[in-house]
Amino acid sequence: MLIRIVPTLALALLFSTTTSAHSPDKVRKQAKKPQCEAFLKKPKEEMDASDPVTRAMMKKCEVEQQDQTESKGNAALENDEHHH
Amino acid sequence: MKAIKITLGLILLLIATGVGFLYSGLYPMGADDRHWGVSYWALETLRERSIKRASENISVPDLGDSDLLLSGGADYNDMCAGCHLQPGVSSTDLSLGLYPAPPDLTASADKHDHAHPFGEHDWDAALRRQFWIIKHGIKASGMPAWGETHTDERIWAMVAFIQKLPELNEMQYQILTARGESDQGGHH
Repeated sequence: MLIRIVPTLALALLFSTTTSAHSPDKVRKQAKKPQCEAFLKKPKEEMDASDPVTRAMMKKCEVEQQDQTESKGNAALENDEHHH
Repeated sequence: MKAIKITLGLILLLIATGVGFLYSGLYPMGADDRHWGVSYWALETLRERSIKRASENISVPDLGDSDLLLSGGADYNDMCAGCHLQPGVSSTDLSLGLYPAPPDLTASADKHDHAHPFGEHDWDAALRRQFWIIKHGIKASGMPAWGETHTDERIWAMVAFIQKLPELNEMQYQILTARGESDQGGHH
C-alpha cells in the first residue's frame, strides 16, 4: 500500500509546485527594478510619444518614480516616529 | 497471387527492418550529433506544416496597446531570454547547447537561420504561429507548452513584445522587462 501512496504523493507534490512555478508575485520578489535614470534625463521633446515602446517605458518609469517617492516618504515617517 | 505475396513479404521485411533499427540502439540521439540534411528538412517541414494547419483559425487581437509590452516583456525575460536571447547577449549555455538551436528573437525575422514558411507579408500568420508555439510548445525541441500555466492574454502580450524586440537596445529592454514593485504591466 505504502509503495503506491508514496509515488502518488510525490507526483502530486511535483505537479502542485510546477504549476505555480511562474506566478507573477513569486517572480516579482526576485526581480530587478527598472533603471530609469538615463531615460528620465532625456529631454521630453526627443521622445516620440506615439511610439508604443516609448509610451510603455514612460509608464513604467513614472510608476517607479512614484514608488520611490512613496517609499522615501514612508521611511521619513518611520524615522520621525522612531525619534519621538 | 505471386505478386501479392512478394509485395506483402517486402512490406513485412520493411516493418521488421524498421522495428529492428528502433531496438538496435544505433540511432545517434545526442543533441551534439547533427541531423542529416534530409532529416532536418523532413522534421522542419513536418513542424511548420503542422503549426500552420493548427494555428490557421486563431484570431489575432489588437497588439498595439503599450501595456502589452510591459507584461509581455517581463514574462519574456523570465521565460524566454535564456534560450532566445536579449539585446547585448549573443549566446547563452542554452542557446548553444540546444538542438535544434532556438531562434535568436533579437534578430529580425529575415536574419533567422531557419526557414519562415509564410510569405514576408503574411503578418497575421506569423503572429498566429508565434502564439501557437508559445502556447503549445514543440515536441522534442526544448520548447515548453506555456499554455499549461499561462493565460492566452499573457501569451499574446509576449507575442506583442517579441515584435518589438529586434528594435530594442539594452536600456529599453531593461526598463520594459523589469518587474517594478507595482508591476503595472502584469494584468493577470
